[in-house]
Amino acid sequence: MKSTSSAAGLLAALLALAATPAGAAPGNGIRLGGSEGRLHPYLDVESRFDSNVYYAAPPPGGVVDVGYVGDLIVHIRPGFNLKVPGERVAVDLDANLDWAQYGGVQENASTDLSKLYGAASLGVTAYRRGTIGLELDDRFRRDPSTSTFVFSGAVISNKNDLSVRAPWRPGGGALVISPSFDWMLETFEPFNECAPGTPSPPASCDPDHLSNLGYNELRAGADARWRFLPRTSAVFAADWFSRVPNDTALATDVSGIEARAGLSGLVTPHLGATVKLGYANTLGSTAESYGTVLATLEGEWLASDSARIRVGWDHGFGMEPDPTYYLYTTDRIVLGARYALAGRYGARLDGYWERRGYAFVDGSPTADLLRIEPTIEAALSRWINLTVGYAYTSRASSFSDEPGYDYTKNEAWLRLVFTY
Amino acid sequence: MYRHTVFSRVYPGGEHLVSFRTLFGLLACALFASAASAQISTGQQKVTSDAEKLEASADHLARMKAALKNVLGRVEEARNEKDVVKLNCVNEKLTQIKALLKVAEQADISLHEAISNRDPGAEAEFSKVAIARAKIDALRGESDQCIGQLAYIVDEKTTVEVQQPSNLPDAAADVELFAGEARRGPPFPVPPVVRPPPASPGAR
Repeated sequence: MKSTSSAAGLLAALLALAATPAGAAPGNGIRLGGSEGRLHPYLDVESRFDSNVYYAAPPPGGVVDVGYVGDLIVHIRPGFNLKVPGERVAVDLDANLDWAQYGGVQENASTDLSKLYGAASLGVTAYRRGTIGLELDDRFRRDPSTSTFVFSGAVISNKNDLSVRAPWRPGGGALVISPSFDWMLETFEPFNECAPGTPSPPASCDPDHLSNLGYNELRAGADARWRFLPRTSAVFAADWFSRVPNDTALATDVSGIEARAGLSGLVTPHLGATVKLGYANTLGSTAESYGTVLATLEGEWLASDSARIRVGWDHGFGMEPDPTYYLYTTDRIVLGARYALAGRYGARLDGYWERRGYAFVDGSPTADLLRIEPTIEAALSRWINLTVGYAYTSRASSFSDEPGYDYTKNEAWLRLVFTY
Repeated sequence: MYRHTVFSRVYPGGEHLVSFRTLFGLLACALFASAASAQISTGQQKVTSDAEKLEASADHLARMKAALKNVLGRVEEARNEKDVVKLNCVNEKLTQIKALLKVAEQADISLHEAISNRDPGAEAEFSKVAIARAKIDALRGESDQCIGQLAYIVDEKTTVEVQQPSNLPDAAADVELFAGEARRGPPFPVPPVVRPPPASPGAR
């Protein structure tokens, strides 16, 4: 232990010595030694008002009277970003801690929801232009946001996604064939304690139950992209997947194959499109046979260099950590509009709608999510960025009308990022 | 009557048609003129002895072959990129370089022969080699320009990479909407939770 800390101290001292400030101006970063790499420490401060942080539990035997409580949440995120560009090896590392402080604006009790989160990502690219390259990406995130819909309330998700690809570019790069391997690990922790006196606490606040709902998801496959015109490609991707829950009594092991083929590129100088069609099958790993068509349609209008609009629809499938609602078919519509002005100001409008239809469950239950998010960004200076945003979220479920499954919320935020 | 002119009249007594002073003057001019010519043709070095001529000729040939190799590399590059415009442009220079190199190699052989035979034609052969080198140097430069002219044409092979700060407001990210990390959707909202227990016994 002592030797480890000594080594870490020595490494820190060496890095500190190697770091020579290339330019005194903030935003330029710290140049590491004589390399092209630059380290950018940053501080991200966000003040967000959430209209629906929690709801008051009805008294036992009382009338359900949901009283939504909002709060002001201040996020302080210190972090750093390291970028080392290079033809042979390029590295991109980003890490930050996130302290979320609940202000207790409407009710003091919400201050107990204050917690520490964090995120880190590492991208290493080797031989970017070589005949054979290597791309390694790892992303870790700990936050109360998860794509799982089966929980009746917020949970803390610890998710790590590791992806390794080896692009092979025979004949100059028009054709790229990339074998890939993905390993995703997600574990859950309670976001808050169960309300006192709850007879049968839900999984979302039961630490023992949640710890068993974690899972590993493995994917191995390959994708090919053949660029037969300067901006148009034929694409094909196929992979085998397996989702292995920590406890198969609480969630179901699902594995299978999926494949997609299609075209992606510019139809006219101002119009882009992606069309893909495929098929997925669980190959008998589920109690009943499951197979679904996969489809993707995307359109993009490039109005100018600084303005564009994208709309897409995707039909696919997904898995949840639940013994009943474990496999679903999903339809998603995504809208994205961007406008940049003078390189310093930007306006964005993002929209997302998703409907999940759970398979093998009587009554074909569904869960819907709608989110509209307009934001305005401004680069106040080379090292200060400001974002003002608003988001409307609506969530509905046909199988439950509990507040955790059926709610709306409004969020507004002001975010400042200081980057050295 | 005697008149001093460049071409004097012939006197019946057998005097010279051109005066000696004039003849010396013309000879001196011719010598200076030939020296200047030799300096131009050999580039920047003055070659006087036969051994130096042979050495300089070998050096010129080596440099011409290096230029040929360089341009051949550019042809290969253009061929790999399947860029017909670039290939035609560089091939044109290559053809001329090959022809000039052939002439220079033949002149080098003739130079060796002339020197061994003490033939005054050695100077002319050496000049051929030097002129060929000057022309090949120019063609090599033109082939570089040829690449340079194409560099701004943005196609699938010629790429321009601009690294801009990632924190600037952007028009869009060039990724597919449902690919990569976006495959599972955007960051999802935090669902509400049941009222948390009070922070302290006195709190609401």
